[in-house]
Amino acid sequence: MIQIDCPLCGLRDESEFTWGGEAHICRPENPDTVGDEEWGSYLFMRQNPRGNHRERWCHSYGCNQWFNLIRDTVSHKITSIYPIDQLAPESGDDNE
Amino acid sequence: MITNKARLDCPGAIDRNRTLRFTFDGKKYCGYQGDTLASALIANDVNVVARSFKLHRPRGVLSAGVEECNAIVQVGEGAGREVSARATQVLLYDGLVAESQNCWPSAQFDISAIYSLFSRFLPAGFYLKTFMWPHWHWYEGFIRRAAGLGRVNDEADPDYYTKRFCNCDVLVVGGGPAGITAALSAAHVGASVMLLDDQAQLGGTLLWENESIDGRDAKEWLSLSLTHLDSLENVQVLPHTVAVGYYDHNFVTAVQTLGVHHCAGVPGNGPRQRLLKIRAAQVVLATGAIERPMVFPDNDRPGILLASAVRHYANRYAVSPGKSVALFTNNDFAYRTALDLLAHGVAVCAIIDIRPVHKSVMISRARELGIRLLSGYGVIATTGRKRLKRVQVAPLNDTGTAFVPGAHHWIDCDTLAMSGGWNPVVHLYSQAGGKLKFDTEFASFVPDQCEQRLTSVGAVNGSYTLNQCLTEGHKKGSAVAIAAGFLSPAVSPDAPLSQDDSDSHLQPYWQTPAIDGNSSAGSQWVDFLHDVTVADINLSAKEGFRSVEHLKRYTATGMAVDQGKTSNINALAVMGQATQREVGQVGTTRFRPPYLPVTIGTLAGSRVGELSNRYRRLPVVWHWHNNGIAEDHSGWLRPAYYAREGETEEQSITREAMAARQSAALFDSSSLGKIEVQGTDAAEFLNRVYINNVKTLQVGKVRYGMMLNDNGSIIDDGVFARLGHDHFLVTTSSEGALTIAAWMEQRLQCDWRDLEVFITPVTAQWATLTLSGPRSRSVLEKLGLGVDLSTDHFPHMSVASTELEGISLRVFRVSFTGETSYELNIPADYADSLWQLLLKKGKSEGITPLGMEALNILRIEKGFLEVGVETSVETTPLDVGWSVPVSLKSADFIGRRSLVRSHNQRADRLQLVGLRPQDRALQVPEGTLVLNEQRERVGHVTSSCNSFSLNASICMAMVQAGESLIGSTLVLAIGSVDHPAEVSSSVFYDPKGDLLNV
Repeated sequence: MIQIDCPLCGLRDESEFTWGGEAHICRPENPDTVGDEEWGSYLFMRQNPRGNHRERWCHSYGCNQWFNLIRDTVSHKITSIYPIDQLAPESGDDNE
Repeated sequence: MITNKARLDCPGAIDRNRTLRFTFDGKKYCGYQGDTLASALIANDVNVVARSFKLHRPRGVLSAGVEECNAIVQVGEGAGREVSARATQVLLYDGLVAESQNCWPSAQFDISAIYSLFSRFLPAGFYLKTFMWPHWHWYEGFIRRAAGLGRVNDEADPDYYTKRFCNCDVLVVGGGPAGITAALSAAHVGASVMLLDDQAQLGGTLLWENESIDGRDAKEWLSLSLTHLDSLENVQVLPHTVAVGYYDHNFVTAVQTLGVHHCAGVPGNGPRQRLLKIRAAQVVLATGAIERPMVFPDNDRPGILLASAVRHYANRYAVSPGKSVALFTNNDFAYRTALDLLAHGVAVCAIIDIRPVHKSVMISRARELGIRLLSGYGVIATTGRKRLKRVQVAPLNDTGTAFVPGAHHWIDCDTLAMSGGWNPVVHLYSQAGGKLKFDTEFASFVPDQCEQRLTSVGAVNGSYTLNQCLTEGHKKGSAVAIAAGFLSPAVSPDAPLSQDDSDSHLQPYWQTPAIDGNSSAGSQWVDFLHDVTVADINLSAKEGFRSVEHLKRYTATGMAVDQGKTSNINALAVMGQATQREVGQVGTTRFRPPYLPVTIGTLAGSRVGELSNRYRRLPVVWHWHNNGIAEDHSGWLRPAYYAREGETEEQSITREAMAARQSAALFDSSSLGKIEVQGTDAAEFLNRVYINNVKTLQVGKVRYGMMLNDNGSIIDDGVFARLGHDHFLVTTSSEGALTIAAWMEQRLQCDWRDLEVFITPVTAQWATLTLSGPRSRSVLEKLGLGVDLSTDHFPHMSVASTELEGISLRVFRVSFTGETSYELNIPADYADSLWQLLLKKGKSEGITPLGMEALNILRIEKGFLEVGVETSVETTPLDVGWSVPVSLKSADFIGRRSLVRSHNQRADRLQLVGLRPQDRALQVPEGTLVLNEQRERVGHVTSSCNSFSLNASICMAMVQAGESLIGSTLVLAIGSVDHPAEVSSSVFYDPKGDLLNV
């Protein structure tokens, strides 16, 4: 069980949080105009990297606020925690 | 009078003034306070304590520690009986009752031992290869019974267990010399320290080795150190606490044994065990090492033990496993056993050492004492069925790869103490994600590197001398404390010092070479628990199971109770030799938790019985005083029906459903999910999450809606009401109450941050009581709510907020039964009063409480779907007949784009229809397969009931291209009988909905 430093509440156990999958997935602005393939890729295609992963988490059993973080999927080291509406810091783009 | 034939004169750490009686396999014995079951059995000359797993060969005690793989016993009686306990770890107590496992009638005389006569025909993979036709599962039950390891205790555990969460700066696992010095030095820096040891007494090897530290007896140093640790406020010492799991971010679980042995269920004894969940800034592993057996023909006979165990038994428990002991070794450590035994007056008949003659302190000492040394010799055979009698030895050639022909001879002895080197206990290190490396000098795997904040000290690193252990513990203890954020102290005490600095001069010897070219010698056992031999591993290699993962699964080596604590390294080395690889290249399997078996009760803690799954409770308690039959319904305890004297269950349900159709029924639907949605953008927000048009909904009106995910699948449904221009109340299914609120919150926080909307889940705050039936309006009018309830003023799908005696009340005219219905929302505290008031006022109208079962009949008659029952994760609104509302809405909503994907437009999708079996009394189980004329599967029944209103059996079903099949006949396959049924619309009762508008 990992620990996450909630930006509002501080360091807490993973069991207080909900995982929200990969961050920065953009829903097409106008879904009606995109083809099946592009829509399908928005729905299903994810990076699944071995290494740094930018993902959404929510402190469900605390402040109930969503935020982004960068977690190494091998070592579980969390290198950055940043607001939900901000772009990932540079270090998160190692696996791009 | 106590007769412990094998007891030595030396004092040991036992209390001879306290005799303890115990029973093993029905026979009565005595031991002393301080004994383990294993040491007491040895003291009583009990040689055979168990039978092996596959071949039922007689086995004796092998070790003195957690690694024991032979002496696995059942302890205790009745409900408190524990299976698969290690006799070496069971502390003796007065009245202890133990039995051997995997044998019948006893370990001494076991009928299944006949298997061992056929051992040649039972190689690795025998069962899997032989019992293939028609399928392994045909034989599995029988074979598993024959290979049982103890009888599972099927009585409720009379003990109770607790849990504790802990935090510390430095967690030290292992209370031997390295762990104790690490704890002392970390504590000196100021860190909060937890020191765990799996044994009841801390000290590790110091408890049974004759060593000195800082010029005094090591036991004295131990006692002073423990007293010092006890006096420090920042140190917790936890004996009898075994760390079993190492997870991410330094999260370690440990099992602390609190109860007095196995005094199961004795009131006032407190909990038996406690599960510790420890989060440590830094962890120090001082887990030590386990001696490994030598591999030679018939090395599994009772009387063949690990050399360290023999020393342990003699020095600590004052017992000798035999009267004349031979030793077989490839290193200097075994010599200590010989020297200690001699000191206790036990005859040492020979030391058989595979290494050619060389000089070392230990060897010189043995020679001075006149011990017979056979340098460059190996053991090639043993005899003795239930007790070792003789060993046959032969000289090895210069390279140690073959025996010199014709030079073998026999040595009489009743015990052989063997030492093949040491296996570091790297389990936790590996669990932590740490990588291991093969240390060629130590001939074993040792910790290499790990991402976690973790360090290892002592024998687990291959540091086998006492001095190395003390130095490492001292140095790394303070280092990790400083790494945890503490300042380096101005003055540090010196590291404790020991005289023991001797080298072990180990020379690997993984198996015994063929003797005179004759391969028919006895089997060389590698894994005693699973009867895995060198031949089995060679066979595995020959058949292509070369990878360590395959080897483990094919031969079962290193599996189950002991997890290969003694056998793993030998097995890997033999595999390496069979495939011309170094041991390090073969690699190890990743170790997984738990390090030792954990009782399920410990993991459950206090969450057993009623506490194992807490139900949510309805605010109305009247049900439970009036024969409401409670049933679990999506985590809520709800009345299934209200029993009445003289009625069957079915009659009660029918009576309730009839009341709803004919007069009035009252139903507690408080579990219904309720979410308040407020804010200037509330309508815009809901318009994006519902497939329906929300913006056109007028204040005071209600609409039924569905929510989809972006795949187009239905995630929930329910009605939503507009209470004010910017104020909605959304209802969800009982299951969806929490998840939908969280899902909405996520949309607002993550995707639509510009919308001004506030989500408040209010399921628990508002109770929902539903009044349904043709006479429900008359009942409600009697409350005098000041609302004109006539259909003209308050038609179907309306909402009104009012008050009842000063209490807020919301009235929704909606229906889940097909009859005129009113859902009354009232603050939960008043629900019970309102319920009773409605029953009283409605008495003259024939009001009847209605349970879940009757409600289900009513909703099936109307074809109302239940999300998660009719629908699956793939079902779209188009599949359940909701294409029109979707096509009428122009604005985007979640899931809309996916509905036009080709897959969701296919004609052969599962669609919701009704089925009317021709046999009107047929009872159709939910999940029944629906077949076409060719008996191909085309769908399944999702809900079914016997409708009294229609006098028919009816079903809702998901059927491929179902809508196009309306009017045709399909088949319901129930058991072996086919029942024809007509496909119809899923709305059976009042299809036009006229009754809703009465």
